[in-house]
Amino acid sequence: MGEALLEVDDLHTHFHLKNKTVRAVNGVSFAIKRGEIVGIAGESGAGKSVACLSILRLVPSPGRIERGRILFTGEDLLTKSERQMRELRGQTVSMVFEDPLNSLDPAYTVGNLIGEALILHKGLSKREAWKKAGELLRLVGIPDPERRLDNYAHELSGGMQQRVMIAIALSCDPALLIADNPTTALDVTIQIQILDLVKQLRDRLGMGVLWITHDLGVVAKLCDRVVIMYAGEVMEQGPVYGVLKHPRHPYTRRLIDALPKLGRPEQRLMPIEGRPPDPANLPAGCPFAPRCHKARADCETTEVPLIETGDGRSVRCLFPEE
Amino acid sequence: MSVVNLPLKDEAGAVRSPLDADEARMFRRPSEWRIFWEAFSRDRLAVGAAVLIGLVCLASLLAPVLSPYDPTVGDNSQRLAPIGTPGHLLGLDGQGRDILSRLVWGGQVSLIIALLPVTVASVISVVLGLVAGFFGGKVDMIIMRTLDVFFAFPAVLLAVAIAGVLGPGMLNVMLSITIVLIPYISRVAYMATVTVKSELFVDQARVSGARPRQILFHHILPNTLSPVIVYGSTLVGIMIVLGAGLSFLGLGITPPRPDWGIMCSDGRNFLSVAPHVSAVPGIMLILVAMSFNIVGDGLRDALDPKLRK
Repeated sequence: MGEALLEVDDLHTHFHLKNKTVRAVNGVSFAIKRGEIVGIAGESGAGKSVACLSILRLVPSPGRIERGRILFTGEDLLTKSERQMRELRGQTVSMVFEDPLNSLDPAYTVGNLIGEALILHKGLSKREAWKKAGELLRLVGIPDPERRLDNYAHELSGGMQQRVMIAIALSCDPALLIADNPTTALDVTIQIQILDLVKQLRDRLGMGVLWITHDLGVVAKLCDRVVIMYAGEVMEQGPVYGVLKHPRHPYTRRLIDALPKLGRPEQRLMPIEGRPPDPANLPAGCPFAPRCHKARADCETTEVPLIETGDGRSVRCLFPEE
Repeated sequence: MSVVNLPLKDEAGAVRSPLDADEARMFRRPSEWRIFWEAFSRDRLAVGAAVLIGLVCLASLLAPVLSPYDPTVGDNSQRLAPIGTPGHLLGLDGQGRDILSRLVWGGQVSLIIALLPVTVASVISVVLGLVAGFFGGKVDMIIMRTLDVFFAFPAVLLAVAIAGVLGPGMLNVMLSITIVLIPYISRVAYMATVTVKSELFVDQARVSGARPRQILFHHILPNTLSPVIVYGSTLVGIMIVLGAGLSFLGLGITPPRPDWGIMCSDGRNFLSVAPHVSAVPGIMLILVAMSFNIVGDGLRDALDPKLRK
């Protein structure tokens, strides 16, 4: 631990539509160390997923990475050839999607799906790949793995499917695992199992994990550090405990207040009024200003920089809480 | 620490011998073909239809051995003899030719005229549809708009026109049917490709570092085949009828060579006095065409892992 694995620096990813430009990711910077689990949290449409696809250079058309640097173990991924990127995908950086059933090709058995990457990247024979696939299923905690290899994805439960996805992602010993909302489709008991599994695997294999979610509960349980995104920008980032316990950005504060808390049924939920700004038409100042109860006149007009506040935290606010 | 190089340990922690249980199981694993067959054989109706098609094919192949009489030479003394006439199981037609013999010989022509063009057209169409759907953009434009031109003509008219230009003959009929079919099957293959292309598992393959070629052949092609197979097998029935129609117009098989279409049309003048002359080949046409549809449905169910069981 300690060494930087991934550094995203001032990333801009824009979608050029016919008559407008959607600025989905707008100057995002964050870093992941080896063996660290970093959560990216924020509302839907905050640009979390696009930021992650940008790392793999798989932004769907008409999206384009406009500016920025993505340093992976010191090398800028944006200057690599498509061929080099293919080598990287699934091997050193792998990704798990939200919807496991639709992410698994219905035409193949689980064994074939896991074996695919092994044959592709590691040059294993079919027999070896099949055997490793069984090992991987055992690693992700699937009972009776050899029998499961013959199953098709739709024959497994949701939790099993997500475990298979993780097994595929882990098949080539990735240095970085990107997970896009992988537990949203699962019920809470399965979710906890998956989170525990990821933590265990991180401890065992030492990979970095980038976990996208809109659930701060998951962030608190799983992550070492958290990046709060809003309207394509980083609002606040830092160690999970500090950020969630003592948020400095009003947006983080409001997100936490909007969480339903168990055991306090008398407490009223605090929704955040208004909507996120239109990413094709972002305000000049702080994007959260129109919804912020602490906003002053300056907030609407001044571009707010991300300011480091010490203890590994930074916040993008003119009037941060202490 | 490497995942894939974890020592193979069982629960007790002992390192296993290379030939362990799961490896042994791997060799016992039923092949894809077995799995498919087991699923297909559970569909009784489809198996029945397949057996019928098989029998008809066999009978047509063995026509020289099976047919009791020369299908082109008639016995004028017994014209229009009904079904069950001694020596002529299915009766005789308007020129006194043995219907059973003609049916067996005609099956040869009718089946080839339908099966071969549908197969060839399906292969070409899958390639066209896959390429157009997968690459999109200009390639898509050129291929699909060109095929759209063919939709401007009614299928039968187009087949007649092509066969007319090429001249009569079995090969020309098959060629014209193939050309007529390509736009239709291509559309099915294209739509399937476009649908499958946007599936999440294609993205999954992409984030796993798969090359475009691999995504195309490994993930998209297998998932587009079943609609094409189903559509193609329903077309076989229709094409038997279309081939018959072309023959009827004098553009296909030249008389006196029999084919089921010609046999149906031969009997039209005697429908009121001897309906069996048209009915026997007509019923065969319907039975075979229906069987192809049923087999097509069965194939779809058996080919799609989600519909098995």
